[in-house]
Amino acid sequence: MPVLALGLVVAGRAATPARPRLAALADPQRPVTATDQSRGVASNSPKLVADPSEPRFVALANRIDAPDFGCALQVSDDGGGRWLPVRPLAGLPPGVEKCYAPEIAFDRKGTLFYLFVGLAGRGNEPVGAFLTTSSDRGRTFDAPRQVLGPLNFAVRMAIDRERGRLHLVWLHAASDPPLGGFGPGPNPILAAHSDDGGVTFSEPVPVSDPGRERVVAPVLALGGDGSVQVAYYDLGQDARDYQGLAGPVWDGTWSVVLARSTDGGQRFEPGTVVDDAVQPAERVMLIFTTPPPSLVADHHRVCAAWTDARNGDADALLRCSSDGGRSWGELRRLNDDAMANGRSQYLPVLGLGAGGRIDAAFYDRRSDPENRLNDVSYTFSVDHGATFAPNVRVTSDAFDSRVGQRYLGAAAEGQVEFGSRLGLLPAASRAVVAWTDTLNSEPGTTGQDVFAASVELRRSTGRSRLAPRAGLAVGASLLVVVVVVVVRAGKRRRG
Amino acid sequence: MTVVRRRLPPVGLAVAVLATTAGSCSRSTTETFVARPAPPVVGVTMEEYRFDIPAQVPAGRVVFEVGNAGHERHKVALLALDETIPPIDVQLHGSDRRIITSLAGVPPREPGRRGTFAVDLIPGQRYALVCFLSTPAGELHALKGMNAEFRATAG
Repeated sequence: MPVLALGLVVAGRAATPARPRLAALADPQRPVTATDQSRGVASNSPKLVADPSEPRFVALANRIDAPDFGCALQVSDDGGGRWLPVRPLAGLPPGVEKCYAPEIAFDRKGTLFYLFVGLAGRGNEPVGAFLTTSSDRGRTFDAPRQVLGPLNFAVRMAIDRERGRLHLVWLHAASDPPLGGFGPGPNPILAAHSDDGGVTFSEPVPVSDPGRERVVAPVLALGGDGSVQVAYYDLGQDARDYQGLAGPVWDGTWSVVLARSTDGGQRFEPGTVVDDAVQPAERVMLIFTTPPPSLVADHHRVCAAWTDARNGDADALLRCSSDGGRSWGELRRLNDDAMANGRSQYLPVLGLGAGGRIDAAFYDRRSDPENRLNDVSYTFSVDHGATFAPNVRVTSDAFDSRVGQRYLGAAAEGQVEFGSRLGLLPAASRAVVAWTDTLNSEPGTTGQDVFAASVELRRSTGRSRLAPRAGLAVGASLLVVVVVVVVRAGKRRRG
Repeated sequence: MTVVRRRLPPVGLAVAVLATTAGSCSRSTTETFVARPAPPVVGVTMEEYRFDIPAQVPAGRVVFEVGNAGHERHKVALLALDETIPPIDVQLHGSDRRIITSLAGVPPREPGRRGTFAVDLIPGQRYALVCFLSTPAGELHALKGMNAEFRATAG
C-alpha cells in the first residue's frame, strides 16, 4: 500500500521544465555616488552602460535634484563594483547655468557620449540639449556642443553601434510652457539621428500620432536590425497631470503607445497601442520629467514595462510583442507579491541579457505594511517574457521613500522626487542594478545616494521533474508493477 | 573600420589577446585596459564603546564600510571639524556648544550588521566619527568613548 501511494503521488506531481535559478547576490550593495548630508545632495535616476570594447568599463549617469539641479557621471573599471566620479563638463556652455537629466551611450569604438539638458533662469527653463564625448574612458571630454534648441524636454539617446547612428527622441513644446505643466499643443514627440557622431543631425521627424494631444515621456530602444522603437504615454483626457493642475490622482486611464521606424529613424509609422488601460498610481509631480515606460527591443521582440495601479495598488506591469510591436501579448505582472496588498512596486526597468534574456528591476515595498519603505527587486525571463523567475531582493536594507527633494506646485503637493528610472546592466551571467537609496539619510532631508549591486545568475542542475502527462504515465506504470509484485508475493505465500 | 595587423612577438601577442574584445576592432590591438585605482575602502568597526579605524585615512573618494562587532546597536556620523574645535572627545565632554554638520554616516546597526557610504575627503581636513546613540540607561555612546578623529592624508 505505501508503494501504491507513492505511485499516485508521482502521477499527481506537477512538473515544469527546469528553469535557471537565481543564486545569492554576488556582492553586497556598494555606494556609487558620494554622500554629502551637509548640503543635502540628492543623486538619483541612474543609467548604466558598458563599454562594448571593454565590458569592465561601466559608466553611470545620474541626475542631481538637490541642493540644486545638476548632472553627474560615475565610472567603474571593474564592471560596476567600485566607482569613481569623473567630470564630463569642465565648464558649462554659454547661456547654460545648470546641467540636468543626463543620458549616456557608447558607440562601437568605445567612445562615451554624454548628453544633458542645459537649464537657465529662475524657472530652470531648458535652453537646449548638449552633447560631449570621451574617447579615453572618461579621462577627458571634448567641449559640449548644442544639438537641440530650447523648448525641448525629456531627451533620450541611443546609439546603433552596428550602423554608427546616434538617435535622439524628445518632447517638443510648441510654446514656452507655463509653470508646472504644458500649454496647449500640439506638443509632439520628435526624433532625429546623426551619422557623424553627433556633429550634425537629420531634420526632426514626428514620432507621436498627430491626433494624440497629450503625449509625454518618450523612451527609445533599438531593435538591432536598424529598427527604432519609441514608447510613450498618451495621457488621453488627463489635462490635470498634463497641465500640472491641482487635484487627486487621475482616475481615468492612459495609454502606452509604441511608434516604430523600420528605416533607421527616417520615418515613424502610426503608433500601436501597447496598453490602453494604464491606471496612474499617483499624481505626476512634474510633467517635464515624467518617468517614462521602460523599453527593450531585439529584432522582432519588443517589451515595454510601466507602473500601473489597475489592480488596486502600484504594480510593475509588462507586455511583449513578437512581431516588432505590431501586436502585443498578454499583460504580465513583474512583481510576484500578493495582488492588491496595498504595497507598491514601481519604476520598472528592463534590460536585454545574453541569449535574449529579459532582466527587470523595480522598487518594491512589499516588506512594509505602511507602504513607505523601498527595497529593490530583480527578476528575469528566459522565454521571451512569457514567465519570470521569482523576484529576488537586491537591497540589503529597506529605505525611506519620503526622503528627497520636494517641489512647489499644485501637482507636486505632498510628493517626494525619487527620480525617473533605475539602472540595469545585463551581462552574460549577471546583472548590475543601480537605484536611488536613502538608507543613510535622515528623515526630513533631501539626501539621496545612488547604490549598485550585482546579481549572479547560475544555472541549477536540479532534479529532473516530469511533465504532468508523463507523470501520470509513470504513476500508472508503477501501479502495474506494484500489483504484479503483490500478486506474486501472495502466490509465494500460498505456495 | 581599419584593422591594423602587426607581427608580434609572443609577449606582445599575449597583450594583444588581452586587449581584443568581441565586436570591436577600432582600438589598437596592442592597447591594454589600464584600470584607474579603485577608491580605497576604509573599514570601521563599532563596538562598546569605541571605533576601530585605520591609523591613516586617505583624502579623495573613500568608501567606508562599517561593521557592528559589538553587542548593542550602534551608528556612526562622519563630521568635518574646523581647526578651532578642540579634540572631539574634549568637545563632546565640554560645555561650549558648536554647530557641526554631519557629512555622512550609517543608520543604527544591530550587532553583526554592516553599512557603507562613500565620501569625498579633503586633504588635510580633520574628521570625526561619533555614535550618538544612548545606552538603555540614557548614556550617550559618544561620551562613553565612542568617538574617533582622523585627518585625511594627501596621497
